[in-house]
Amino acid sequence: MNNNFFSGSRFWAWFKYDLRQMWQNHFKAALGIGLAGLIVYVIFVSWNLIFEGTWQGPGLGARIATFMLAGTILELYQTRTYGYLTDKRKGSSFLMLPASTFEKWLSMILMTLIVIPVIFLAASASVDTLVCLLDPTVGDSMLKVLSDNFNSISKSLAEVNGEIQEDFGFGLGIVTGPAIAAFCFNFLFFLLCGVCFKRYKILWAFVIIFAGSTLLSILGVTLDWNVNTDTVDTLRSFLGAATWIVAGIAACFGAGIFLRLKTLQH
Amino acid sequence: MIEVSNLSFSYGLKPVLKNISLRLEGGNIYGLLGENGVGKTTLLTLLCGLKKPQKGSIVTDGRNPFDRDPALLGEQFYLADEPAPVHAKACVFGSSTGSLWPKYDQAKFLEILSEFEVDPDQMMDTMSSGQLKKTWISFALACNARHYFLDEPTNGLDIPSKSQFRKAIMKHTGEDSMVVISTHQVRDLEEIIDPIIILDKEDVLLNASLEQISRKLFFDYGTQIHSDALYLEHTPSGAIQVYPNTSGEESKVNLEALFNAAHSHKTTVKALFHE
Repeated sequence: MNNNFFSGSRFWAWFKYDLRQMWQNHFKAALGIGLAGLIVYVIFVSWNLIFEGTWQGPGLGARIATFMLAGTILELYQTRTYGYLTDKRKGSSFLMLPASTFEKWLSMILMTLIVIPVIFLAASASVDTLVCLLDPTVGDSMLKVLSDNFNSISKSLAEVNGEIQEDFGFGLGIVTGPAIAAFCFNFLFFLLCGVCFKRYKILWAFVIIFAGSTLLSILGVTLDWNVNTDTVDTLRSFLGAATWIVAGIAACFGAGIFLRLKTLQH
Repeated sequence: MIEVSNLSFSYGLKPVLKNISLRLEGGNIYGLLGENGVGKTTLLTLLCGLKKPQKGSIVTDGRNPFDRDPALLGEQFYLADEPAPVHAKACVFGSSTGSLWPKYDQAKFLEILSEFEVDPDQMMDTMSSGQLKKTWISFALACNARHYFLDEPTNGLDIPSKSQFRKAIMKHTGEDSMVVISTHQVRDLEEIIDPIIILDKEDVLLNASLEQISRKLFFDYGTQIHSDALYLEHTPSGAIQVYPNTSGEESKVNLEALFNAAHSHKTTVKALFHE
C-alpha cells in the first residue's frame, strides 16, 4: 500500500495526538454528558425532600429517559468535536499536520463511533450503578435490569402478530442490527454537518433532517409505499432491508466526511 | 524547489492571482511583499497546499502540495498570520504535536523558546498574541522543515523579539531550507530576506535577488536630487532616491524605497527586470 495513504506507525502517532486533543477539548464534555444521571438524581432527591419531605430518587423510567436524552445531546455534540476544521486558524493547522487524509479520517471515525460513545456509556453506567448501590429507593440499575431481562426482551421482540419466534438469536439480531446502523447514521450525520457548515451547525443539521423527513413522507405517499410486517419472515425482511439502507447511508456520510477533508481549503 | 506555472486564483469573480509563474529555490529566504489584498497570503496558502490552484500548477519537489502527502507535509511548515491558541502548555504542545514531524527536536524547541524568553510551562491559550506567535515560531523552527511559509511573522512581536526572530531564522534553518516570508514590515526583515518578490494586483512585479536589484537599480542616499529618480524620499540626513543603475556601481538596497519605486513605476521596473 502507498505509504502516503496509510502507514501503521504514522497512524498510531496521529491517533495518540488526536486522543490528546480530544482529552483536552472534548472528553470532559462527553464525561459531563454521561454524568447527567447524577444531576437528575440530585434534582429528584432535592425536589422530593423539599416538596414531599421524603428521600426518593428517580425510578428506572426516569433514569432511562435521562440516559436517552443525554445520548441525544451527545449526538448533537458531534457537530462540535471536529467542528473546528471549518475555522480558518484551527482548520489550517489541522490540514497542515503531517498525516494522510485517510489516517486523519480514520481516527476521526474511531473517535466518533467508538472512543467518545464508550466514555459516555462508561460514565452513564458507572453513575447509574453507583447511585443504585448507594440509594435503595431508586431500585435496580439499568445494567442489572438489562442483564436480568435480556432473554425475555429478546424473545418478546420476536413475537409478531401472535406468532412467537423462539430463536433467541433472531430476537437479539432484530434489535442490535438496526440499533447499530441507526447509531452510526446519527453520529456520522452530525459529524458531517460539523465539518461541512461554518456556522449554525446544529441548526443546519435540523434543517436537513426536516427537509429529508418531508421528502421521504412525500415520496411515501406518492409512491404508495406499503410495508408488510404481518409475519415474522416479512418483518425480518423489512428490518434487514431497512438496516442495510440505513447502514448504506451512514457509509455515505462517512465517505462525505472523507471527501470534505480531502477538498477542504482555507 | 517549488515551480509555480501559470497559476491563477480568484475569490468568486474577483481574480487575485493571474497567470503567475515563479521558481523558488532552496537555501533562500524569500521576502514576499505587496500591498494589502494583492494575494500574498493567498499565494502562501497555495504554496503550502491549503488551497487548490484554479488554473496552472504548483510542484514542490515533484509533488502537488494540494495532495497533502504526509511526506511533503512533514517537510514543510505554514505559520499563519494569527496562529491558533491551543489549550495546552507550550512544552506539552511541542512534544505531542512535534511527534508528527519526522525531524522534530524538542530540545531545540525549548532552546528557541528560552531565546524568546517564553515560559514553556505556560498554557498557550493564556499567552499574549506576541508570546503565542513566538511559541509557534519556535515550534516551526524545531520541526526542522525544508520549506517554511511564514505569514507576517513579526506582526505583534516587540522590538527585542523581532531581532531575536532574525537571529533564530538564521541560526535554526538548514542551509538547504527555503523560507518564504510574507510581510509588510520590511524594515524588520531587511537584513535577512533575499531574494525579493513583489506582488502586484494579479501579477508578479518583481522577483529578483538583492544582487540583481542592486545591478539594475541604484539606491542613492546623498543630498543631490536626480531628476530621473523613480522614487524620492526626504530624510533628516538628506534623501533616499532610487533610479536605474546606469553606472554599474553597487549600492545598498533599501527595501521600503524599492517597494515604493516598484509600486509607483510598475511598467518601468517590470521592464527593467524582464530585460
